[in-house]
Amino acid sequence: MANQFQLEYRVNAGAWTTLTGASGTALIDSAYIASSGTDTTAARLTAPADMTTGNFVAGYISDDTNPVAAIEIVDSYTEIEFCFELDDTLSTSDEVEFRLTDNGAVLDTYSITPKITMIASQILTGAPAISDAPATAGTLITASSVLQALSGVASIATATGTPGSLTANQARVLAGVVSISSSLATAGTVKSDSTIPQTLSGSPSVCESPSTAGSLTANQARILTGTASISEATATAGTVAIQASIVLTGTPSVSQSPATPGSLTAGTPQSLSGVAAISEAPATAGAYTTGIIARAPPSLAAAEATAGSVVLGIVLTGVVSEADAPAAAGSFFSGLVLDRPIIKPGVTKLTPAYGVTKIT
Amino acid sequence: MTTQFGFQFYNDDGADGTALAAEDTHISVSEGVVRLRIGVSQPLTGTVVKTSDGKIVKTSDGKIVRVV
Repeated sequence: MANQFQLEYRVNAGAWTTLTGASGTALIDSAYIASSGTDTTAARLTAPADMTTGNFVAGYISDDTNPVAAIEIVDSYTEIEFCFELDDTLSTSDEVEFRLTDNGAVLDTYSITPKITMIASQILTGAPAISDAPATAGTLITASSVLQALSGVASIATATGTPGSLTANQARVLAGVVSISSSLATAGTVKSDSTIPQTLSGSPSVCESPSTAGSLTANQARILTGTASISEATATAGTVAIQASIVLTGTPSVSQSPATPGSLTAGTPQSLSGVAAISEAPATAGAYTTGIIARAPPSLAAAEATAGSVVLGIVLTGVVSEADAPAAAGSFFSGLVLDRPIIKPGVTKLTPAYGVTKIT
Repeated sequence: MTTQFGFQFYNDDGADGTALAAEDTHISVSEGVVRLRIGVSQPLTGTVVKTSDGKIVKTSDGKIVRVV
């Protein structure tokens, strides 16, 4: 006797309903399934007790036809597959169960009934990949109070044509070797609204070597340790905007040798120790503006084709060199105190011929 | 006796979609397209008869149908 299998569903143990192509939980067209339910199944499930795949009879795969065509499975088994979309009006914790009938007539036995439980958020554990190399990245939004952790080798919007965005209301931990918006044509954005500091440990890279640098915006202190790089060697340097103290240790580099240097703007005192370079040897020197203190031994716009300018309001100590041997000298203005040997006290100005002219 | 004996959920990402969970495992999702494969069987019922060379199934109408 032939059977014509039909997929039915029910929500929260309600009445069973046949899936159709209408709205709600319904059959939906798949790019991988032929129309009219003509694709056939090969055995993928574990054969039932007392049977082997030798007892398998091909069933049907459907994305638009329910019930599928009749088949004979006497002394055998089959597998029927449907492609469907869940009703977008379902609520969190709703349970949707599924069963096959013989064109509406219930089967003799249901030893197991498939079930989908609706949830509001996704929990990713182990070594998850989010939007790994899709053509267009999606968006992961979580309002959960549960800490989300990406461990192992995690990738967020890696190498996508157009990166997506990751919005978080809680602390996020990136451990191991992590990359955010690495080598993208157009860099994405990492934004945090949380009051919890975000930490990049190990060898982190933020917006490394994209053709157009993105931006990193932070409302809390950020710590870059080890070999840290911000917008390193990009054609056009990006911007790091900070509202709290930033510490660069080891051999830090800020906008090193780009064709056009970017800018570093700070509202509070910033200290660069060790071998620090600011806009070192660009074709066109940038400007260094401070309202506080610059200590020795600073080198300002050394050996430039065109020198930049330094404007200081307070103190220069140690061995100071300003506009050292440029083709065209720059300008140096000091309004207050110079406490080490200098050519003339008071306000001085270097001429283009490397001489010194006292301005009275 | 027709029995729904097993199932598996798949993604709609290929001719044979990748499994969303292990066989006979319910899933939790927030939205989206899902593929569901359900297995049904219809074994013959009858009496298992011991013969000199093994066991066979003898149906209620006396037919010998399968060596088990």
